[in-house]
Amino acid sequence: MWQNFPVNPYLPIPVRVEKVRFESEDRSLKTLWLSLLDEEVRKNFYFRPGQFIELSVPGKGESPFGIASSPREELIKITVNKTGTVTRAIHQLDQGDIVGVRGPFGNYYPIEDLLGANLFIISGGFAFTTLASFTEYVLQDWSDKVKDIDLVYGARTPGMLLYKDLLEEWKGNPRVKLHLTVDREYPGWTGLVGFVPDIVAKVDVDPLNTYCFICGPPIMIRLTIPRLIEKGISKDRIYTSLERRMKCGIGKCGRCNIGLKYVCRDGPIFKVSELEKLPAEY
Amino acid sequence: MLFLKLARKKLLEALKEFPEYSFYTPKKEGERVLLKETSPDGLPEDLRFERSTASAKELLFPQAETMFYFLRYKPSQKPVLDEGKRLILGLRPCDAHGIQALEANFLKVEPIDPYFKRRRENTLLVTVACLEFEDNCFCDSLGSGPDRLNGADAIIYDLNDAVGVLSNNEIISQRLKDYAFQIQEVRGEDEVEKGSLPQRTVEPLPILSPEEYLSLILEEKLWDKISSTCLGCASCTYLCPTCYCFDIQDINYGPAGKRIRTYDSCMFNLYTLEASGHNPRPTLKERWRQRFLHKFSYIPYLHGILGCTGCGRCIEVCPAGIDMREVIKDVAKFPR
Repeated sequence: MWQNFPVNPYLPIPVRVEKVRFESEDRSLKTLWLSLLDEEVRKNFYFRPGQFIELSVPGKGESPFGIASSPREELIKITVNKTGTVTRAIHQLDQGDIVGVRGPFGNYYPIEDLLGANLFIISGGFAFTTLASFTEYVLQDWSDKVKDIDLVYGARTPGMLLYKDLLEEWKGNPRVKLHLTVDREYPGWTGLVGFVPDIVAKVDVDPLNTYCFICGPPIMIRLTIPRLIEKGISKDRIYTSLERRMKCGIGKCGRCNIGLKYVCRDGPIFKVSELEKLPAEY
Repeated sequence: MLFLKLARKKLLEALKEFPEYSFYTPKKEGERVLLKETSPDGLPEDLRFERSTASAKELLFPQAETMFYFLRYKPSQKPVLDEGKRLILGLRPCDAHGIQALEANFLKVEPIDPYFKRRRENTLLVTVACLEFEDNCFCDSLGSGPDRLNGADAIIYDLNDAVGVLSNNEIISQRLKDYAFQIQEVRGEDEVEKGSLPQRTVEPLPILSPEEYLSLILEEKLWDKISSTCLGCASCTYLCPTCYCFDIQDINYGPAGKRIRTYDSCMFNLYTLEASGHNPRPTLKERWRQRFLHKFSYIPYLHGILGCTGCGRCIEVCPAGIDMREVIKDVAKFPR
């Protein structure tokens, strides 16, 4: 929350890169673990799954990234896709480098509403970050308060799936039904094959007691929503996290504006019933 | 609020009561009218100022400004706040309206923007009620008028042999007091003498409610039609007094550098283009919807003021001849 910056919400707070790891086989995705340098700031830093930060590489610029670690963890984890100037600079970072962070920004997945409900978590590609944080947090802190978790997660190839360590852990957890899928048959792959919306259609859920959370490429989100509605799930119980080009993170710079909402401030998480009233600018 | 009547000469004399302020007025330079620092001695006694080519927003929210300096390899940052005190004299009421829209974005919604806040606190905004209309301005068609205070710190009315100053600012009221021959405590701008204002037949424009405009948000055909002749040059948004969208970029000087923000525009393709290649507003249709509804629906809905001041700058600068008054009519005609 921007309350972390009482004076100037545009000033990044220094963080140290503690660890880096290539996340995907093609090395386009890299995961970084960050720690806040200032002890006082670190003590007060608090976020909820679903929120994002702006990571700043001085001289290159800043870009928004969803927080992938659970709030329970000491380090902030993000996964970065190498595409532009800033992300290329982030990929060059190594242990010990000092960069800047602003945030956390935005709203979060509504954990409090989920008492006694089933969770249907749906994700594709490298958009899995905040939902991985959410899943991990639910399992750590809310395990006895929610019912079962169905998790559909898809990638182009097995090597493009994020956080294999976590997925392996969850496989052994009776509370989680994992539906991992890849786009096409792949040597050695024993999981599901097919696109996320098709897999979602096949998962059996209780439509009256299930909350759905979708995060993925826009096309996946658009094709998945009708599949959930077909199951009889209310549009008030389907949440999706939108991605927009965001600069300021605090609803000032204007670019993530959709209708009366700013994705950075009022989102990034919206109910489908809210999105219906907005132009399909996502 | 205080209404002060002063002899013309006295008003110019009173300006020496603001020694810590730099003066800015609209000044003609070649083809363009710029807002420039000027000496209080050289001000025209008739208070006739031309309307500035660019809107007054540049003095509070410059086209490019430094946010902070940094050292590239050390966690060191030095924020830069503009501390200069400025008295801007000779703006139009529509300019003040525009600044109200910027205030709504930068000051009314948490978190507050520290750069805009400091500049606004250090600025006295003094408008002059229009002595004549411009060719393409239309504030009167929007229900406003050339005599409105619109959130300025003070507005000056031409009372022929004297001037009337309606002040909504303690500093201005206090420092002008001794120069006035008449002082009156007033509750609002409707109670004061405004002298002779420019007259013309008002052609009211059909302004819908924010909710009615919002109901047109999914009408693809409407936005397609409205954007069909637009070139996407974004000149309108650069000159618009209520456009505040910005970009943030870094500039390097060897081991040091600075982070700046600059105007950006919803009319540009790159404005919303994401790293993945996906663009949520891929064509001018979506961009026009954003621009129009932001001004006529979102800002009024969220902040209670219209996001169009009727200054007419977008009409004058548009290379494709798009006239916002016609767009307003076209939108209102669309079946709801």
